[in-house]
Amino acid sequence: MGNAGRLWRVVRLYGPLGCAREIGYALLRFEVRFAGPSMSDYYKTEDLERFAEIGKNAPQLWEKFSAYYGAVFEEGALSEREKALIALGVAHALQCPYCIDAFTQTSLEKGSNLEQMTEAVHVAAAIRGGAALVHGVQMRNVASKLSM
Amino acid sequence: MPGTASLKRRHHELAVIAHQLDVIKHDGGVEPFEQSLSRAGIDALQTDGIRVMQINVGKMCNQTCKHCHVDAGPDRTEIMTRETMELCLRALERLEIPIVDLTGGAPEMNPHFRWLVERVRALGRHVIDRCNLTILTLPKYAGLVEFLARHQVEVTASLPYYIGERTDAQRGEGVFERSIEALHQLNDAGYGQTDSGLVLNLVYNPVGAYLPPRQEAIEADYRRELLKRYGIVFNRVFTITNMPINRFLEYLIESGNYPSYMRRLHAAFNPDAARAVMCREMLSIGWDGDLYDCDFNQMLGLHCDHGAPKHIADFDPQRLQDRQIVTGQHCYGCTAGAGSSCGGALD
Repeated sequence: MGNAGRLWRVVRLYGPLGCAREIGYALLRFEVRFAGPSMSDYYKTEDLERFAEIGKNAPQLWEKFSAYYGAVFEEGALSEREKALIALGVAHALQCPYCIDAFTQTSLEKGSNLEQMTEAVHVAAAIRGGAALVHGVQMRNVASKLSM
Repeated sequence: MPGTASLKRRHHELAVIAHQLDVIKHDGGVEPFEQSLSRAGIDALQTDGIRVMQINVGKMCNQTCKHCHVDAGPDRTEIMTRETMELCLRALERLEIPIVDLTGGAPEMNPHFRWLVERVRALGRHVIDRCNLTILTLPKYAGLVEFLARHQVEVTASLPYYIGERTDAQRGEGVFERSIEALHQLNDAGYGQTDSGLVLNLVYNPVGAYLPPRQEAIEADYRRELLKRYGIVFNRVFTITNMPINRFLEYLIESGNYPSYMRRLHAAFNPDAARAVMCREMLSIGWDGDLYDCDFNQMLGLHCDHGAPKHIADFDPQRLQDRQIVTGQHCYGCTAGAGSSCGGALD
């Protein structure tokens, strides 16, 4: 297969948007090679599918974590859909790109819509913002102590 | 651009079935379906009688949905003739198949639709109409709801979500509003109402490259939201996974989701769902009378094989009731997660 054939195969396999993404990755690899790693080099979409590799050197811990993780997200007092929305909010509070990818998909697959998912993100934003703001009381306490 | 006309009308390369089969076979990036079956201890899928005769009466439709596995639309002219319908009826007389499932396109657009329903009902068989809802709001098809109710036809209607924006994103601008109008007509005729005996089921399918939710969970959401927002009642919600063929395949490729969607289906492969797939109890008939194991195989031109007849004129109960099913990479769509069928999840 010639280069044109290979290129056509890639276009067909990944589609125009997928191709653009692959070209982006290629440029990134080029940049890393010649200019050193950048922030975005640490978060690759395909790494999410490699999550289980973390169990290679500590399989028992991974198995226990996996069992616990699975049990947490089972239907209980909260529905699977509610738990996925909580996880989506937490993912934003933690600013974890992998978790955002995973729980956006999970939320859709549990039947949530964009209105509900956006509200979940606002809950995370409100708690993060509130957490910063409530520390203002500490600031006021210190300022009060230091001031006449 | 998807959603404006059929692949065939646009002369899209996926409209060439040999090419599409090549893409499905080689470009999904996951192991062969038969290998997954084999690892689960299943040699090959085998039918277990015929409980459902699914007749695709034509590819003509008044909508051009972006995910359509039939590649149906107003520009498709393939329509089943009355002669072919008579062959179907003759087969029903020879074998006690309890359910006749009418699909399309929009099956109601076939000029012989009502005649076929009357004849099948006269044979005492249960009839399902796979309805896109909006057809019920067109003046040309006035009286259809009353006709369906009079003949106790079960209506299985497409409504991919209870919010208009998402339904329209998949099925076309304004479809949701007209679907709600049609659902009111059906409710008024008794469909979905307790003890009416008129069954109205809704079909959820994902508006994008992801799997459907648990059927019971989304059914509860539909019941609550449709009643609260529109005063609509129904019997069941069926969740159906989008099949990576025809226009949904086009969407997957164009949006860059094809390999990841196939990996998602493959990762969710469920042997129990594979043991219960709908094709094990179904015979699918194309608009021209050709025989298939399911409507998806039909759209890919994959006829019944392994010694089974290939046309309704050659209907042979013995060879069709116990036949090996033709499989391919698209079969991952029916075996992912809780499984998927024309009757919803399999568990």
